[in-house]
Amino acid sequence: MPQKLSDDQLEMANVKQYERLQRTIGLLLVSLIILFVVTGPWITPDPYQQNLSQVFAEPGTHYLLGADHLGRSVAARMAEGGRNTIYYSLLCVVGSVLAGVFLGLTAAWYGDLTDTLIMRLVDITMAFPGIILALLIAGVTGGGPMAVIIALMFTGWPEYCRITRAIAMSTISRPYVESGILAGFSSIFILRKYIFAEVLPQITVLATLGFGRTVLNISALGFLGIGLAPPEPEWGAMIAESLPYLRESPNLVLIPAATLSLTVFSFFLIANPLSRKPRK
Amino acid sequence: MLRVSKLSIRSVIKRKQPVRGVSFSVQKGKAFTLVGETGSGKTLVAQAVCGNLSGELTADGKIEYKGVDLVRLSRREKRRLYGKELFLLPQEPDSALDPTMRVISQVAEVFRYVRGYAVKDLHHRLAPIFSDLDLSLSEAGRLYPCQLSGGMKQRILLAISLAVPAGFIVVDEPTKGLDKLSRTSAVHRLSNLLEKGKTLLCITHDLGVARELGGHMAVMYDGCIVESGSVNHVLNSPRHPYTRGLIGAAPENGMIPIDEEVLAAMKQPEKK
Amino acid sequence: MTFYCIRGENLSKSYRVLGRNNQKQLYRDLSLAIRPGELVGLFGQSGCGKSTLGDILLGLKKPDRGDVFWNEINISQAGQKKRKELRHFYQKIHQEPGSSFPPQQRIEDALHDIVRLRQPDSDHDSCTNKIASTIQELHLEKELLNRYPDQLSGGEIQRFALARVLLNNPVFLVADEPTSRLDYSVQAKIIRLLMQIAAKNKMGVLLISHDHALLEVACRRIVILDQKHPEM
Repeated sequence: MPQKLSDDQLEMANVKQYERLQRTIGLLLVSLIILFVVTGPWITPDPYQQNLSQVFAEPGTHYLLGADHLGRSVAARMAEGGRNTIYYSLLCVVGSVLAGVFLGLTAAWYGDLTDTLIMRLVDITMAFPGIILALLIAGVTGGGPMAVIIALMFTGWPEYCRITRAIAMSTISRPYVESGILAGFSSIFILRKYIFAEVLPQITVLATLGFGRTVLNISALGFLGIGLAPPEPEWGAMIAESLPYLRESPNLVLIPAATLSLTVFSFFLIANPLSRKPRK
Repeated sequence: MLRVSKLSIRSVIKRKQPVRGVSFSVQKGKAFTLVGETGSGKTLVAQAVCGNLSGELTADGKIEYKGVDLVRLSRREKRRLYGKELFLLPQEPDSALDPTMRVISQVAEVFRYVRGYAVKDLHHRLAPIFSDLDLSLSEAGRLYPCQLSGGMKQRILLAISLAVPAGFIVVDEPTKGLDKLSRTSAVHRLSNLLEKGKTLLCITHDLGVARELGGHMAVMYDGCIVESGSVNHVLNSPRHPYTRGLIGAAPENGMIPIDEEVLAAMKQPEKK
Repeated sequence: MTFYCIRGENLSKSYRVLGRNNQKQLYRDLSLAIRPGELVGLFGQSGCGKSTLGDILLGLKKPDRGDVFWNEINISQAGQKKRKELRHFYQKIHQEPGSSFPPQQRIEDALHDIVRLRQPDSDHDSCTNKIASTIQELHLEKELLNRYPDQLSGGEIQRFALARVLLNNPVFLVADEPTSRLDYSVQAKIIRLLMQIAAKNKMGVLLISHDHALLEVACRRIVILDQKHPEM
């Protein structure tokens, strides 16, 4: 039986369709970027090979995306740099999510002194500017990717910790947790089955958003010269390297900058509909 | 004043008809009580009258209010009518109060914009309204909705309802979850509204509420009205076995569960 | 000497009133004992500490003074191990229908977890059988097991909550306003079931309610909590 849809129903259907479109585009972009980054070594030349006769080559002629000031293939460096950036971002996000969720659950479950201690630690950490901290660690350890990862993890976990704790606290006060305690389930069981199940969807959204941001942060640090040592490519570092030649060949800055924006944007596209998805 | 005729409500998604051919009429200045269990469709009828059925539901039939058919009303006409002439006291008072505002500001806001009271004399205009409802403006008014009990929240909504010159008030489950004392005073306040000349459409599962409000009533089960008439008539000499069962299930009357066979006989076959 | 499945002796409880600097006494030196299979009503207006008394008896809250005995064992003096052993014999049903079940779990899975906790060595089929026989006793249909808590009516979910409690083989149950959010017709059904089950399983029940008429039908003994003078 065909039914005429009311305005509200149409509106609802439109929103859903729009969100589905958002997610599809986001996923498509991310998979394209990952595909490019992963297959890079096979489809592009050696990223470290200098060819001084091809300095500042235009895109399309000899190199797919042209060559930089040392005659290295930009396409190859983009792939290699992207692999570095995405790999380190993933490490950072996973590390901070694990630490944040663990500490957040601990704080909410034990309460009292444990809670106070962890939350004050969160406050202290959050008061620390991430990039300055990275500079500090890099200064002490002499740079390298580890400094960047440690710094970003250190500034990343408090956010996950706070959200986890807030959701866990409201879940703990629900009667079904009390019922679980009365039935004699262990703390681990209740935390895993009841509380973590409530925390997980929210944290997934946050982590997706956080991933985009971490890519940006790593590139920002790369731009400042912290992180990977040259000639190892990295998107942010590539922008920094090419800045002096912005006038002559803007492509060199535009390509990594655009790819970076696109990556961050596509992660936001994925996270956005996730965050509004109702349960079931 | 309000006449509902052959009202059916259909769900687009589930292909069900939770309300089937309900007809009744409410007289001006009197109460009409719709009694039924959860799932009998009584709340849907109230929502249809108030024009806020959820998106997946569509209403057929007629709901005439002062000669206007409420089922076929444009959004613009709805806005003119609802809140000004028709007012809904919702089942969950929480959903109607802003949790981040002190109650006094919420009540004052409505009086300011609907009645046009000046800010400086709001206080002495509101004081008698609050004291009428056994609330103190200086104490209860300063609280946030989460600090109030269910009965108090309901009284705040009643105060808000007094701001609008609504002559017709729909009350959804005024006694749910209230303890005996607050229940008695809640029903008492509804009778007060009747004395002020308002018309009430009351939705409840509690036959006692119907008895105290008087007027007419209808008993609903599974989307249909099984018995209707004046309150005295229905409650003192119920004809339908379900009505008898409902009366017997009240704690005061021995709390005897309704016979399963009676229920089974009334269940209509599922529509394919 | 009669055997009591639960006994509270000289319980006192007060709480701090927010904002003001004083203590509000809920009750002082209250004693209460319940025999197996007995339904005892607890009556009082909202805010008089009915639920708190239930929580104290279940060991969820600590009394200011006084002792609670489970099977004549003083739980504040018993060791951790003994408490853990007795824990699941003391159960509770909440007022809000469905709140005993986590929203993201199907009812069946939630019940399976309980059975497996009680009998860790039982296989999937014997769990299913045990659940099936329990819910049959409560006149619930098997098809409902596949649903999530928010897909069930208030009456159904409260009966599932009762099933969940029964799978723990309780000797004592606090039913905290189990039907105050339900219709009278459903309430009648559930309270009758509760009465039958208490008698059959020799389970002591503390039925908390603000409806005196309900308690008069269901219980032989009613405790009335007055703010000042608790009387028996």
